[in-house]
Amino acid sequence: MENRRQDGTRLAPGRYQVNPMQETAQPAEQMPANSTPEVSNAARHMGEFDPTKTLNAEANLRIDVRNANFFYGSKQAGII
Amino acid sequence: MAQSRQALYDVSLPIREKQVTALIGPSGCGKSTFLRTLNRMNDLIPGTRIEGEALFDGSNIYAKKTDVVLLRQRIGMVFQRPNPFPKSIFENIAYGLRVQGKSQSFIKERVEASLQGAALWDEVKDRLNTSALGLSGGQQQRLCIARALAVQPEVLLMDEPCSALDPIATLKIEELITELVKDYTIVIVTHNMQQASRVSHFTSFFLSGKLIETASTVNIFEHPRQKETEDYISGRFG
Repeated sequence: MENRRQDGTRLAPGRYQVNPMQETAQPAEQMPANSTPEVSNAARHMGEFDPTKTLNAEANLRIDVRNANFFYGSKQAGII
Repeated sequence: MAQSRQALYDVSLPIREKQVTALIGPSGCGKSTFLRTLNRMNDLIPGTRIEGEALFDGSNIYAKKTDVVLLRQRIGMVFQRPNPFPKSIFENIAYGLRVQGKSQSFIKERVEASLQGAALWDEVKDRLNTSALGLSGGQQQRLCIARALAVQPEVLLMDEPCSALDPIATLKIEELITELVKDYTIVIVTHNMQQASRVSHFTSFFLSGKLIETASTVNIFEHPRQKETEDYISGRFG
């Protein structure tokens, strides 16, 4: 997946140059008209949803992780 | 001390209220391990240990006095593969409420509200007493989301919730996430960068157990500060 065009210019956020051999999913707003109604509705909704419009960088912190170091035991780490 | 393997290195990450935070990175980078530290799911694995601090509304998640059952009720989880109980649709949602000793009328009310919250009510309202295992994969995953919602969590952790689903079911889950975030704080692990850009407000990039970069999703994808982030999102590795 590449987020630049072939000429090297960057694509819009959330848009990627997709290798058609690897992925067939289309952007929601381009879902074919012959999709089932519920899928078309979902696609239309997703086309309307823009996280940048509801981004709140000052929202309250619910979880705050600080300097976490996590260790698996020897069994999970595959250490004999 | 027995030998162990470090999976996360000095990770500091704020999770903001009623926002979607996406965790991205290649396989084995620690993003699911990090997610599972948030409601102490890793406690179920013998021999694990954590250093540092994880605060939920200012209280240390890893404090000895923390009630882990209550913690997991407040910070619910949806897994990679749908895992409904081999029970009816109704009983799947009612299970946690019965454990809590809630009344039958409360349970009925919550089952309907949870299924509506997970955008599944209209599809199953006429067959609540049939087996949940008869639902499609996408419906099963929404049932699992409804099951998590039934106990009224405040945060939802989603570990690659669409990885076992087809594109249509994936789209419906993504649509659901955009609705749920109005009421819940969501943290989602995804391998799908398009999905991260479609549904998340913030994105955090993990690599080899380290948090390389976290920022608003638009900044991560448009103006990554770290070369590793740019290399990953542009497909140079991973």
